[in-house]
Amino acid sequence: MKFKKLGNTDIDVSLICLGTMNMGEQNTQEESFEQMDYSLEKGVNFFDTAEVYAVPPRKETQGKSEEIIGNWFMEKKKRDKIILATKCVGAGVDWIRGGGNQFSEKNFTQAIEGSLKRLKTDYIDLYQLHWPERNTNFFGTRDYDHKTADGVELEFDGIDSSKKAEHGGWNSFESILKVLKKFITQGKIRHIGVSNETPWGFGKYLEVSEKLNLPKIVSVQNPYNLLNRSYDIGMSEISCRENVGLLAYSPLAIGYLSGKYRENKIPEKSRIGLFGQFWTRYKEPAAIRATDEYFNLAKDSGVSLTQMALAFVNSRPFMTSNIIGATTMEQLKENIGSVDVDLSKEIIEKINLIHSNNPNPTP
Amino acid sequence: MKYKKLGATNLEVSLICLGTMTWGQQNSESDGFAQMDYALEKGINFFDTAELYATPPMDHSYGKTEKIIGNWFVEKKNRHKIILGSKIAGPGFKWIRGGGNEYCEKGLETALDESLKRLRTDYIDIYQLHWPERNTNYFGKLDYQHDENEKKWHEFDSVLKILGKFIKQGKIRHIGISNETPYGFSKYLESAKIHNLPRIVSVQNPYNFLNRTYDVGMSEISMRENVGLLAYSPLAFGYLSGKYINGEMPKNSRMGLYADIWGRYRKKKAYEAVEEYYKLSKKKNMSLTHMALAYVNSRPFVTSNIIGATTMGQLKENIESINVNLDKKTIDEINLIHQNNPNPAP
Repeated sequence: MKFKKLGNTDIDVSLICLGTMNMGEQNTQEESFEQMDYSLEKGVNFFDTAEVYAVPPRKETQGKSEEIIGNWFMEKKKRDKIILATKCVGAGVDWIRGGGNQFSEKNFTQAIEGSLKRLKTDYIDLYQLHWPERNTNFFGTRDYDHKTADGVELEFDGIDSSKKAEHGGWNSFESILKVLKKFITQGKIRHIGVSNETPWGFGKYLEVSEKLNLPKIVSVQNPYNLLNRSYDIGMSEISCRENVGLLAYSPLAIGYLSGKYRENKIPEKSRIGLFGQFWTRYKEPAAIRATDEYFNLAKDSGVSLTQMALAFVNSRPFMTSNIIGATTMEQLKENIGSVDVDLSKEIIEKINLIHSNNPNPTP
Repeated sequence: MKYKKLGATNLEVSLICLGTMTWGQQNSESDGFAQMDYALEKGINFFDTAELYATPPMDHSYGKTEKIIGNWFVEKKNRHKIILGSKIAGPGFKWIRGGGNEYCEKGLETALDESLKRLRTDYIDIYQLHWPERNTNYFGKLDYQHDENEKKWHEFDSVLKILGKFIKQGKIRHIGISNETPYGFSKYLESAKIHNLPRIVSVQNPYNFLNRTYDVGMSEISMRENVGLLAYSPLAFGYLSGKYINGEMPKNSRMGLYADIWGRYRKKKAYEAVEEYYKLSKKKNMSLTHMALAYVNSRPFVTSNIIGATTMGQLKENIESINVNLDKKTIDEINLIHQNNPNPAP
């Protein structure tokens, strides 16, 4: 395993992070335990979860992933071996504290208490804001679309966003950082991060923490994969220059970059086979064409598409950790194995050429 | 004509800004005069130039555009009617003060004084930094590539302090940036706020059907911070006039003359996208030029759309785009083409 510093902290996190959002839906507790055991054995010391998991988000499975991780900590007595990240949900999920804005002191208090209880621990290493309260472009929306009026309904990833905060109606960066500072002082959380953020939000969190001497975010969890490198456009420069790295999610574009959905195949137990109506983000003709090109390059280069896609993410200088997920042990092994795959300069150039001809088909 | 506030200032600039970079190469001084006369008559009160112009950048045409504008100001006594934008060049051109980093006090002062002399005026309304000194992604680069061994560049605070001095002296009124990225944009705003230094009023970046990368991260900063876009290359160097489709290469066009220098839009996917936009404009009974410019005009974060022309026919058509309104359906169809061909020529 390789390790990187988490932002400006002294914490070394593994370059591969274990994603857990299948735990409690596509994977049972027993399977999840096996994944965690195996990952730890392979040097992975970084797990990422969220109060909203398992996915797709449903009332019945909310909190299940955290519970499974908590049970594993207790049974294996491994809490001290893991850098643990979880997230407070953004607005729009009705069954979590009513679905309104979440980044107030009251809601954070409830969210953190709930997560700590399920995780059977008394601290979270990295506490993240799952998505912004304000209207902005994330979850598959390429471009920022300014809204001036309240009550505009937007759809994102199947979550009813009618309660999503509009301009002026969301908690300020300053108030969020002040509340989170309290929880850091209390020892309940150690560091904070953002997720599904944009350059404006990223810049403002940094500005406000610098100006008012409030906690500095240590990571950004955004999507990054061969079909969506929009992080490269404006975010990666901020990451490199401010030393706040990316925790890349969906490095395989929810499985599309394993190649398993090529030629219109939809395996029965795959995520698209089970929840195709929920996961529409990568179902774009331009993405399918690009995937074919990456597949052919991988084949010519004697590497699996999965490992090529993951090794590319691993190699990026602004990357702190690559959050992989798996539903089978074979997938998990292949994904973790990517840490030992080095792509030659020539392959990287060919990847960049395909990218240049098919830039970010699925933002 | 329509007008918009320039950032947080009280200045009202016309939504169409007259770009000037062809004057001194593709256009003569008298062409330039005719363009300025016509533009002013049509309600345009905003001209944009740069010390670097005319383009393509060459030592023998450096400063020529500013001189033509200066001569027009004096001859027509029109300086007071125009909101004037100019720019100091970033590093890279040997014939401009040696080509090193420029945003030091001496570089900025020399550049500004010489622009004032050529422009035959004692103030510039918006003084812009033409491109960043630091290594970052602009001029056709979609993605940022970090360079561990980057050369030193002038800090945001220090640049703003120097520009603040010129504002106090009355040589410039406002400042803007150009070819910037979200990092630079945010840092200039942060520095102004924390150290009480002048705040930028505009960002001059490319924006057109073939390059809407401004929409990804910059436009949110523009809207939320009230610092609008001065859109350059709204026709993607003329590609969005349709004149280069089917492999055409008109003799006196920019591509006909300088194809070796301008490779930015010569990409397979860009050609494919142009075809689709062209078909849509035909279906809508409007020229591709009008559809492309009216789209830029309609964007909420755009302060002004910098058009350019080498003929009076082009100039008329470009300015007329102000009267073209795209209905919601057309905009949806444009966005669908964009979604399927995102940013082929950044």
